[in-house]
Amino acid sequence: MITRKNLVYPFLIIVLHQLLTVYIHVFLFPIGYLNQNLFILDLLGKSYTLSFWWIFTLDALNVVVFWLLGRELFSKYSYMPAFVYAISPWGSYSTSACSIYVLYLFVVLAFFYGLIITKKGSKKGMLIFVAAFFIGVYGSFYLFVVFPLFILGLYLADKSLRKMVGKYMLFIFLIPTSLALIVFANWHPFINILSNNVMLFSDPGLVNVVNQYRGESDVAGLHLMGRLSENRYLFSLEFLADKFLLHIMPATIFTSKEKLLGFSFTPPIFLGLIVPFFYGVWVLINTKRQLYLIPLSFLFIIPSLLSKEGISLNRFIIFLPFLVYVLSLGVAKLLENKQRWLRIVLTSTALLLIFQILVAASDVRTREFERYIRYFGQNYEIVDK
Amino acid sequence: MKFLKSKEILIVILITLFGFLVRIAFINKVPPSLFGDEVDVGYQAYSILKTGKDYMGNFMPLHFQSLAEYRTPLYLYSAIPTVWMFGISPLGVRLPSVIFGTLTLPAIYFLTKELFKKRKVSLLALLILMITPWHIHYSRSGFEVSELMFFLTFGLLLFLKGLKKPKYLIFSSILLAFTPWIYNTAKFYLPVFLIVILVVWFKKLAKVSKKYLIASCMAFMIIETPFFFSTVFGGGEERFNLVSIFNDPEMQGNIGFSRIEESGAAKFVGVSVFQSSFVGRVFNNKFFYFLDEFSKNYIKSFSSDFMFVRGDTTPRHNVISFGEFLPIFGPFLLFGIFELMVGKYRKRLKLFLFLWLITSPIASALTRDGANHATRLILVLPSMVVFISLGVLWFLRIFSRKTTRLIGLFLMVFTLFYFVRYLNDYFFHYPFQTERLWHAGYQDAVLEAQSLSGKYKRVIFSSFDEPSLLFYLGWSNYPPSRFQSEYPNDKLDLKNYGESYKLGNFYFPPVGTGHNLYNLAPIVADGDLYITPFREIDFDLVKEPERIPRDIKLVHVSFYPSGTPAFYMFEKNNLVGQ
Repeated sequence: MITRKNLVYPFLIIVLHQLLTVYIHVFLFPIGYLNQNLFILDLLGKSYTLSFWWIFTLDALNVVVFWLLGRELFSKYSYMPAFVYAISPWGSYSTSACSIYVLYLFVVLAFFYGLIITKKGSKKGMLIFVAAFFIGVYGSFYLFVVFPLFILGLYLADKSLRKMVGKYMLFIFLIPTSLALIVFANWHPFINILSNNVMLFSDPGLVNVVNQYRGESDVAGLHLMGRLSENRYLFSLEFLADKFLLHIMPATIFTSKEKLLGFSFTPPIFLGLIVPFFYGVWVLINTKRQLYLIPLSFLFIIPSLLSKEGISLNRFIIFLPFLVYVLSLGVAKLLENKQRWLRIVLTSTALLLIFQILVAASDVRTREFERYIRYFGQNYEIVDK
Repeated sequence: MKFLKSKEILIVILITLFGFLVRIAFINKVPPSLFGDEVDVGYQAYSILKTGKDYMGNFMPLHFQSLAEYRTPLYLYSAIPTVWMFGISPLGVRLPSVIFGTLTLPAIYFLTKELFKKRKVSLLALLILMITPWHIHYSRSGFEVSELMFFLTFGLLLFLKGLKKPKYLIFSSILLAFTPWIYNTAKFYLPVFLIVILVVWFKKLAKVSKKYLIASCMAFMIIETPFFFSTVFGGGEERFNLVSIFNDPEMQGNIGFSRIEESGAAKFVGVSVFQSSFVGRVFNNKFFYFLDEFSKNYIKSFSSDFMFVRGDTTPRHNVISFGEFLPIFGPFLLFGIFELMVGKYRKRLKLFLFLWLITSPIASALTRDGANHATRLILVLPSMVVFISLGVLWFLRIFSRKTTRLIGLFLMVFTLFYFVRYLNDYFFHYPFQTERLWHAGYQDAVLEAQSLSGKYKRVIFSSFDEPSLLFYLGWSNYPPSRFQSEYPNDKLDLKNYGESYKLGNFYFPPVGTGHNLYNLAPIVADGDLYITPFREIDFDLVKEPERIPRDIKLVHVSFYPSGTPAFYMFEKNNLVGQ
């Protein structure tokens, strides 16, 4: 039950997160994303730009939903997901650059929250779930693909959910079907959206690489093997597999190897949390707790996987709920465990985290804006390709 | 014979044999040629063989004096028998590496068996090491590190055996004492490693008979003392000074720039004098710079990008677009770490393996570019293999028998897919992609120049992108005694080329000196043969012969394995105007 007493922590966490976001925003303003529109509006040839206050509010709501999710998933450490999200720069950077993916993140979170409480028997949950599903499918081209696939996966993997989803199946699939009809009626705009969003296979370098490899196989006297193993389809598949691996590499998530907003040196999640994250993965597999969620969660990598850039952290943020869950699980289990080894790990995590926050704060203040100017000039616009 | 009849040993032998085949197959062609350092190994071994001195004339040196630097000696001495048998050739120079690489396979098997007393862990470690790209590549090229890995793993194995049978401690200390003789990284790593094993096994060592302990220490001192003096006073520290983070030429500039940023002066264009703030000076100074560089290098050493996805991006160190391990092993490293952390293993074993893992990149982290430098980081490899093996076993153990079989099959198929893909890339594509970096083309150019040299007064071998003198010495088997007596006296100022070395009628201009194709005519004199790398000319003169100016004549072209030109040889065209 939510009482005034147990609202203190979430409130403090929201304040902490907003302070971080505002701090970044002050030093980065007016850098922001360009060309962001809702899927349905794109289809109908209309446009609406989400203003800063909308995005800031949604970001604060994201913390709230993380807390609510924490209440459902972690009994003792319910504030952990919200805290982990609050101290991670990923959400703050997206918010400060007014990214539409903050909205999508909120939708994804609401979708999961609805699903979890529906599973526990709440009818309110189904309402939240369907509303999030509706906004997601109509609002984002990617969620139009990802949400139905995720539900299908759940339907096949989880018996208890099968019953629940089956009950509302018709209603659930009415939403994408109705949108499919709109797509059909606006076919040309849809093709434009498709080609603008799926940039992965438009790389002309692919054909060059195939030709080069085939030539090398020919010189080595392996003409037939070259034709079999060096072809466009296998290379695309390999390229996709490599890109997928890059996405799930810890370096992508915990270091500044991939740049937030395309230029920042701040990591999406602080490196200090890497050990709890690994521990979370280990616990997840060791306890065999809903292991099917791991492959299903990878569906949320699709938007970034299809981008022209190596990794689009802007799009990849919708994968964040899974990372936060695993991280929170790791921290919670570390806190519960009394082994001396793990205590040392936890202490070093806390120290490293504090150190990194201080370093990042100093870096944002002194260097981030100059860095942007150095990379992109002075138009203050970021384009997500 | 009973030993050989054991099924387990048969598996070990089979895997080792397969590992040997993978490491020796096409050794003359893949990597495509001997690169500069390998030619140096070959020529030094050849020089010792013929004269008992390195090619600079030092008798049986503890650090070989090369043209560019002082080199650690053991690999060069190891190459003497193979160079004697096969000459200065890829097989002659790389065979010690192949042998030590192959021997490391059973060494890691017996080491893990000694550590865990579990058959599965040790067999898996053997198999994983056998198919690891990192180990395969370094066992196939004339780098010293394959030998280093063998000495380290075998030395450690003997140390563990020595805790039960103390006579092994003497052999262990001999092997470990030799590790700094093999590669510079070990000079820094060995003291750390010794501290680690002393901390972990101090109580057990205290129980060992003093007779053996003293003998081990004596053996260690006898081997290490002269080498220590040679390192400190004989030029052995030169390499470290060259690559260490403490001598980073960018350090002063970077600190200064950070102080400017910190003071806010960067925002004011044109400000040339500024007062650095107190905070700026506290956080931007040499101490923090070294700390920052070291910690960045150290953390990056464990990066998944380096280990499992892209590897060392220097193509001479790794196959392009492959990690140092097969990517499928990525998660298992993590599982292995946690398995050891919370699993039921001896405390001493846990402590040792973690200390081994976390200390092994220290030496590399002290060097510039040491973060993702596969050669300097090779010390991480054995401990990683152990952790990955533990991770795989743990993963297979947590599921039911039926599921385990299914997952095991799935893992095997994926591992096989990646391994075959790696071998395909390594044997059939890598040689083409890296032929220039492996200095292919030099052998043909040198041999051709040697056969033509009698016709010319001067043979000028351009050093536009690489110092060509060493390649000439190595590939022509130039008599070391002659070189020892000639070097460095015959250096003269050659018109149009600068200060050049002279060996007979061969001239070697300084590195970086080059000429445009259209400027060559007035430079190549009558009786000159000018040998130039493709990059100096930058035109494919086989496909476009019309580009060759009328005043010069293309005498010979040496090709890379891919069929593109590597070297051109020009002479004056005396028919012009007749």
